[in-house]
Amino acid sequence: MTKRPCWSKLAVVLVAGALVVSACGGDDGDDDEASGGGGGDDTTAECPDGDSVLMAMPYEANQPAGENWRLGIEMAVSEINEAGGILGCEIELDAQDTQTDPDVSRQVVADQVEDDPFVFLGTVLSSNTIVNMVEAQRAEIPMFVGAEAPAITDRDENGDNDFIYRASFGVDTASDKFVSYIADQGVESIDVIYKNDEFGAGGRDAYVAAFDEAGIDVGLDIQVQPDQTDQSAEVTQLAGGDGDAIFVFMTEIETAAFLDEYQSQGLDKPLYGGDVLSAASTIALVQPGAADGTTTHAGLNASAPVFAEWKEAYAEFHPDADPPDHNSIKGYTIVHVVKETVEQIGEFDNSKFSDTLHCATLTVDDEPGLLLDVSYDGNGDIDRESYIVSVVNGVGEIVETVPPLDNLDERGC
Amino acid sequence: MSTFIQISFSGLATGAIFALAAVGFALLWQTAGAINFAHGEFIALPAVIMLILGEMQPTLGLPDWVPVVGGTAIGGPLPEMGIIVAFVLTIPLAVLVLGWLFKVSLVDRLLTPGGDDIPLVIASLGLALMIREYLRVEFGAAPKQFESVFGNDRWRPGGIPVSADDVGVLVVCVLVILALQLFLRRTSTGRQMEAAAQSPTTARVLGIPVGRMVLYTFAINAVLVTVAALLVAPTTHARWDAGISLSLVAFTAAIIGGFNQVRGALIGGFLVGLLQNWSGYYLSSAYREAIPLLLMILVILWRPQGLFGIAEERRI
Amino acid sequence: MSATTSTGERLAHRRDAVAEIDRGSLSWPLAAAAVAAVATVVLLPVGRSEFAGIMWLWAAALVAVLGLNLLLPVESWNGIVVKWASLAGCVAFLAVFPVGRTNSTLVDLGLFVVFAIVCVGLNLTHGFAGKISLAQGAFLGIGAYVSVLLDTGREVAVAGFEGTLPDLPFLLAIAVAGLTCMVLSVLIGFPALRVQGPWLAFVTLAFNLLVYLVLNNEVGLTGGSRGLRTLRVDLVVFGVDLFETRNYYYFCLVFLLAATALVWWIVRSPWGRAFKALRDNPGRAASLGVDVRTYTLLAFSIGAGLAGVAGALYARLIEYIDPRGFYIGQSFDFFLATVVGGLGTMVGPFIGVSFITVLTDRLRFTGDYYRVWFGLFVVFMMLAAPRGVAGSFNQLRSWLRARREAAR
Repeated sequence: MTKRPCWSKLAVVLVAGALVVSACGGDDGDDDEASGGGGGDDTTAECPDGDSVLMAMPYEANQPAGENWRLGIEMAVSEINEAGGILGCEIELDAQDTQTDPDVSRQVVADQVEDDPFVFLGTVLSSNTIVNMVEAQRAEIPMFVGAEAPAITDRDENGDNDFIYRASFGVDTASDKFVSYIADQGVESIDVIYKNDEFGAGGRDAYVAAFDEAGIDVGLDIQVQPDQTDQSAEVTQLAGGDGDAIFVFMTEIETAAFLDEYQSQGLDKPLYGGDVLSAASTIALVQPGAADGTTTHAGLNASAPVFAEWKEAYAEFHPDADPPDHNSIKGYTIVHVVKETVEQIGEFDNSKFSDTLHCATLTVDDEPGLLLDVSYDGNGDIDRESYIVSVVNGVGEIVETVPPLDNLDERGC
Repeated sequence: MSTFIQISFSGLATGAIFALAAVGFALLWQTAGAINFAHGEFIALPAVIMLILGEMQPTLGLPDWVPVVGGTAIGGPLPEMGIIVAFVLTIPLAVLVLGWLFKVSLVDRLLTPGGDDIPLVIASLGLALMIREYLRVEFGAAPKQFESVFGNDRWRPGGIPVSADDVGVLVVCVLVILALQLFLRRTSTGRQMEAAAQSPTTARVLGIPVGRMVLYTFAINAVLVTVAALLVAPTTHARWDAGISLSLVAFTAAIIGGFNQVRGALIGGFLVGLLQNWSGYYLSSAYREAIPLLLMILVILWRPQGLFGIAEERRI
Repeated sequence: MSATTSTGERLAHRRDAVAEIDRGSLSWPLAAAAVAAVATVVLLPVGRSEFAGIMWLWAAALVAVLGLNLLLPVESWNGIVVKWASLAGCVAFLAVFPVGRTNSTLVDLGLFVVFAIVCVGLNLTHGFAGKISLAQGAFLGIGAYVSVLLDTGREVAVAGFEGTLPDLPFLLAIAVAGLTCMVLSVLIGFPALRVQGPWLAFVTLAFNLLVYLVLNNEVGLTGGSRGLRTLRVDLVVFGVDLFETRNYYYFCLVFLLAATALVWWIVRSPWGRAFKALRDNPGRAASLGVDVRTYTLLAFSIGAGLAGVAGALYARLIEYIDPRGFYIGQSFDFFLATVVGGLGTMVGPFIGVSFITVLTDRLRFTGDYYRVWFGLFVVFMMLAAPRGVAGSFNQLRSWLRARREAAR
């Protein structure tokens, strides 16, 4: 074999180079230094983008959660724009689908950063948010997320992120509220089963910590794997457990499999869990009656009386859409949070934004669009009233309203 | 003891699903030498199609006398009838697309005797991506419920929860695979297919139409994946991403059981189902999948024909 | 079908392929090269490009250089000049391009560089030494976790062992990550490399899945499915602060150039010839006394080591790792990239990685179905160019050369 240098291959490296080049369509307009300056730094009372303010909305199309989030936001934006916008500036939405893929969502957010939006409204799923929030953090653009994983606002984990805000309870705050309710039901010991992924493990950590604090013994601590549909082994273990109740923290598929298995084994301990447990989408996947008797805590629940009027308006605005769920409310309310905060500052200024919103309580009197009074703590977590939902005859019903924790002074304020 | 029986039965039921997934994969590899990394998607796709067709039932105006098949009718017969008819309609579609079209456009072009397997494997990866993403966008990311043709009855013989679906899947799976085995061994066509698989040149010399035999293989595989979809989807739900784990389990079960014997896939499937449940209960839920994987590695290294396969002569 | 194919059949196939070249029936490779060229030109102006003019110039230069490469006799001075000029041009391009780019672009470029390191390694293992590996994703993950664990002084608790890990300098952590992967790969390679083709694929696939299980479940060690935040703070190497994405990109680029040089050197060396012998005809190579086991083990471990190094770089690049990123899908992607780019060619990995990173991204203008298009692209590339882009290009060149000589 001749030792011919195959140098044409090297020339074809240029093909690769060209493709790399094409990835970056000459976007050197703004010099976005890696140290993170330059995001929305207009500090004038004029609108950041001519006569409008740009809000980036990365979301998960193809997921009911993402779709409802978007619908809620669009309704809020339309109402606000009709009433004159925020400080006279029209809201412009940049909606991008993150394909429910963490890496794609990071790219999407990074691309949107280059357009210099004033805020980010999204993403909704924890797995995406954890990855893509870094991009907004670097650019120092406030980001309102629908995700509930505790790690998102955990300063030990993430370093100091002054720009992240939740749209509803993170699991760590929700757990405090829910566990006190569970304790009130007379539960003294509980067995836990959770899904072994970021979401499930994060929830399990938060709830186990809350159970410990409330003095409830945690007995069994079992995991199931993502997509595990055969849970006979795990449910059998639970059947032999000593707890007064069982706490379930998984996503839809595993929850559905769990409930079916639980029902078929004829077990009847009270079931508490993450809101997937009582969700309509889960009920649709399980055997009739399998979800009855489950009790969950919902940060927002569309069937609460306080949202009745809003629901009607939503049905008028989106006549073809499914009835709104908690994600629709999340989306709707955060736009109003932004509006109220900016109006309090009097201008579109990122750094003042966090100073104003951190440790603040925004009331419905000032801003009806908030639908409920809401407080933000120093980490971007919220405090608000919430609901206990129980499934009766295949339908989730609100059985109790839980008031706000009212503990901002313990949360970095 | 009853716990052991309970989780073993459940493991067998799940194992039947694994076996169904494995047998088509094994058949293609064994008879056509085609390693199809899109096999899981080949199951996920018909599941979605059947769901859509099944839901279209009312508008097709089928007459009432079309019989209700399977299990106990609950409420009106329409949903079940829908799935059965959808299944019947999907079979020719699958044979055409997943069988003939797949073979003609990809396998024939890419799989040359004595040549590289790699292009077909890569092409099947590309195909898997296409099917998966198409399902995700077109069908949505949320899983949808899929009715079981066996109904929803549940019983508790001796305190052990048993569902009609479990039993039905088990029985059908065993029947299907045994039928396939019989077909390949006892019928003339089947034996011709096996001969074509073992040595195409010799088979040609003997006058066996090798090309046609291979086509039959693909057709049978298409039917198998459709059957697998019908039986698997009630448990895994119709989803765009069901293919990934189905593929992996198919590989594992086929290799462990022995892919050059059709019954190997059956036993491999059961074994994987049982091992997962046993290790999940007695060892650790976190590593329930690890034991089958370790077994797969051991089998490949020391008994590549699988636990129940027949050792092949190695020609250097 | 047995685990080995008959040598006679393979030789016969090779003869047929050569005969095909002589017959001039090279429509498919030509089509592949054409597609690659068209794709380049079509995709170039996509995006908010203020450099459109420069992009077109670039495309023109590319076409010119390709044409020259095809037509000029290899050994001539012109040929050598063109060769080294194009190489220098590429390196210059990769070095100069980041100037003025935004953070997200730099991260994308960094991803290209990091994945290219993995595929350069996989190309050595599979393209040159003929040993398929679906475990590169696992090694990427092992490298990532090892380097992060050793670089942050974390407290860990695993299997009854509790303690605080040492906090090593970044470079040392990268080196340890690479070495760990090399050692691990030797341990599995020793039994596993006895088997051929598809079997080795499945063994490495199973290994990848097992590694994933460990990464996902050993919460005390890896943080499990919760992932690890791996911000680029306090990372100063030779006086350069790596917090800036641009600096970090150059840092990764150095590793890529080193990895490419290493593989290039190995291929040119007697080892490389042994690899080629192994790949083309293992039976004959063994009979000639080539130590099959050692060489393949070596190739496999270097490939794994490079993936480990890449993993260490990757972790700090995207600043968050969790086990999902190292699942079998990632291994499939690397495998796909290396094959579609061109196995056994120096440039193939770069082309392939540009497909899985850049092309997938650029295709988003087609809307929601962009991944379907990418899958279709992969299928088409295999139909058109089973040897990959670079491999087909070589075929084309050989064909043209044969024609030139036949015409004389």
